[in-house]
Amino acid sequence: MRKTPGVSGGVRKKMPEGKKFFLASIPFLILVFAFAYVPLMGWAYAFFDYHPGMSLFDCDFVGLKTFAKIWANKEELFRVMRNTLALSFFSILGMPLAVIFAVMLNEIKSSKFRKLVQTTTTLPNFISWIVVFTLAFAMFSTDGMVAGVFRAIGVDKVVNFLGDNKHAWLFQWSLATWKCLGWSAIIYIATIAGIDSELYDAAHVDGANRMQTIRHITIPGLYSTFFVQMLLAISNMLSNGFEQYFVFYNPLTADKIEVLDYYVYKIGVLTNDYPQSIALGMAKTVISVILLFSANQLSKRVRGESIV
Amino acid sequence: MKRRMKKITALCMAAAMTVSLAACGGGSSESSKGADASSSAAASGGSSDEPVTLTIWNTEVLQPGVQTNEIAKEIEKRFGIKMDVVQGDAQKFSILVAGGDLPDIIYTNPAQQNTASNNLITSGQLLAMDDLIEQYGENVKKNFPDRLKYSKQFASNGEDKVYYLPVRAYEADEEHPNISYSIENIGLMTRWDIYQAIGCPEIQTTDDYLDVLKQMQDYAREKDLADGKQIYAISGWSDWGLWPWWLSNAREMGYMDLANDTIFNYDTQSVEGLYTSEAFWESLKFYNKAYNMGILDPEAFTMKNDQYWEKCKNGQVLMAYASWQTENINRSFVSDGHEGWSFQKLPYDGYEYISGIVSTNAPLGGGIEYATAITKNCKNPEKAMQLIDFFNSEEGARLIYSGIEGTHWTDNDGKPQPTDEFIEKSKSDSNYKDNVGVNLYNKLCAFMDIQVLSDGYPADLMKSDEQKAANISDQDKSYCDYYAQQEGGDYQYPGQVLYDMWQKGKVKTITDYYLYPTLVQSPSEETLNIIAQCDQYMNVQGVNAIMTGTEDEFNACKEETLKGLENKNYEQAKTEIADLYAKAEKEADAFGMK
Repeated sequence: MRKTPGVSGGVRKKMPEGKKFFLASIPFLILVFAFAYVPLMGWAYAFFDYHPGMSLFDCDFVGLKTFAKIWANKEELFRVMRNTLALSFFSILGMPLAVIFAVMLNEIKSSKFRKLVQTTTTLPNFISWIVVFTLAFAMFSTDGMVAGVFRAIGVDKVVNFLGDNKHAWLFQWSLATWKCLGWSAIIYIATIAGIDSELYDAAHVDGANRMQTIRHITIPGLYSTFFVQMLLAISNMLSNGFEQYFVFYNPLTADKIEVLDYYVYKIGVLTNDYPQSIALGMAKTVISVILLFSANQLSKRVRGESIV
Repeated sequence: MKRRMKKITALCMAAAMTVSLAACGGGSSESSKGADASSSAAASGGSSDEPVTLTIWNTEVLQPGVQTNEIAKEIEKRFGIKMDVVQGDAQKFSILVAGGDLPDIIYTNPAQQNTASNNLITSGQLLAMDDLIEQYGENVKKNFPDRLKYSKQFASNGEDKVYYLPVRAYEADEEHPNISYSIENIGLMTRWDIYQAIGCPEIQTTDDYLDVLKQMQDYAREKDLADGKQIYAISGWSDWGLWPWWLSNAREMGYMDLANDTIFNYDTQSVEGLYTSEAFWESLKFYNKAYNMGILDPEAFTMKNDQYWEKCKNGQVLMAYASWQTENINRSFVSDGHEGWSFQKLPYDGYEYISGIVSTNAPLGGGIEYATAITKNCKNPEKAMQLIDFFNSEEGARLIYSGIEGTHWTDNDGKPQPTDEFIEKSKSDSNYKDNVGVNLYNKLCAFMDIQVLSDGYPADLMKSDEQKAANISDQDKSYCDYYAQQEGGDYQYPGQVLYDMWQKGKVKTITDYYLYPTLVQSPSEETLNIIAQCDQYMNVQGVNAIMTGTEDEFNACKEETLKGLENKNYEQAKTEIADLYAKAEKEADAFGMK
């Protein structure tokens, strides 16, 4: 076949750089659209008297009745919100722990030991909550390790942590911290690695000791990352996860650990009231977006930086 | 030069790829030809040999997926049907309903599945079975035919069609009542060896029973009967809601649990709302007393069901809640080398009734409970009906409950009996029956296991009087011997002790069958939702009541709970359900059955 003159000459129109990147990002945009926006159509169910298995077209339109139903149950909702906010507040309060941990890890001289510590603290993040529950049961039940140790030293009355309503928030927070500390520290370790080493050298020459370099170089270097993390945590205040509270839920601690995500599950799947659970989910999304923008605005005013 | 080399390499690679692609293409065209040939061969006559796979909802199998046990293979051999079991809990069922993904054959259990039976009909998920039954359902029509009438009138959302086929029906032989091996199903069971070790103290009231349990706990702890592990007389689990904390006690007070949080009082012959009933609160009081006596395991409220089983099997628990639990636990005791341990039903534990000394009639089976249905998702409804019809036949019932003739049981001159091997293996291996597939598909069977078939033997051959007597364990024998001495009777197996006591009027049991609770229509969605919310609320409040420290606190908690229920419109739901029962009572006369 004869080649068409001109084409073989290699004179091709160059695609603009921006368009190329845009085309490359299209598949991901489609995925985001398909998995993050298309499901929002399900919000329609909150406005219908829907029962599982029925087609939406066969259901009666009920307007805002579902939201009124949530409000009618407000005592329960307030309790659930109290738990959700308390547990989120605890986890936000605990955020500096990851920073401290990252800084301390950075100060370990032996790289082998540092890696060992980092690996062992990151691993729990990959353990599923049901396994954590089994471990917690093995340790804290009346036949568990902790009770065994106490019994061996003559203390018979040991707190049953899994069923202890008074310390439920603290216990759940400790578990979550144990599980996620190493993982949350990774971002700070990466940030520390990115701090210009000349700053440290200069400080060294100026006679700064270890604590002073941490205080004046490492910590300020982590500020912006920390605030971004905190903003995200604030916008996520209403979503403190489902699995943890699902596996640790029991009648004794229900009053304290029933969080919004569990409540949505309870209303939707356990009591089969899908519209109400969807309405709750909608309210949660709206409040989360408001929280994110308020926190963002606050950060912009106070620190002059923002993420959105 | 470099560029030229690159071009040559590229050309070579392109050539190699073309060749390999051509090779692949040739191969695939040949293989597709082969496939065509085989499929046309199948179409020309061999298609009926291809087994059809039917998906079936079942919560009892050990392994979901395509069943490979002996019973399933037998079914495949006879009907060319592979049973693919979909397993799950109420949540999974409800999600399958919502997604329109139900398996081909399902069974319903409104109480556990939290899905109204009518809802499946109105949402168009079920197939009306009338025509299929007409064509393929000989046995469905023949055995317990009132089931069809019931289904049309009371479980079809007023459409007068058969959507649900009730299962597990039973008709007692008045002259030879079926005496349970121990008790049938639910009741408080006690560690017999320890009760005996403390001298079988007399029990008159439930308080006496709690005292006895306390003594048993002290004894077991002193003797360290669980290898250093903590022993509590009473324990429980948290993932079945309040199940352990009222059901067995209510049955022993003469109540039968019905759907939608109602109970039937046999003394007054009336239906009561569970959460406001005296029986319910009396049960909670029983466990509250136990808690304050230090004999109720505090972990009962945090453990899951399998952890409870473990504790029972380790000897850390001295009271259980049902004979199906203890049959299994007793077998485990033997296989774990604790031959001396066993749970038994004490004739007196302070309650008037013992539930299930003999089985009551159930001409409509469980009604809507566990009824079989074919869903719209079924691609082979004819095959599904053939399978259902087989499970509704006597032959099918024998296969489900006793296994395969010639392998698991033999017919010796009209006397069907389990083989020695089957008996031996069932005794030595607690999982043997499950592995064979015996009893796994009972929720699809028209008959209960104890139903006497036309050959004069029960569907489950291990439940014949002679087998019950022949296979008694040493511990069961020691129980019989003790009461034989006390009562002067001759007892072949534990159930006969209780039967004799009942005959002598020393205990009561429930024998009368009342039709109308079965005929009740499904309540409205709103009511079902209220009930579901109240259940969730009570799961927490019930436990709070049990854990109160004093009588005043208990009463205060009760008052608070009743108020909480009122706020959740419990009374409104109760009234609607009561009206439905009243309506059912009227309709029961017209139904034409006793």
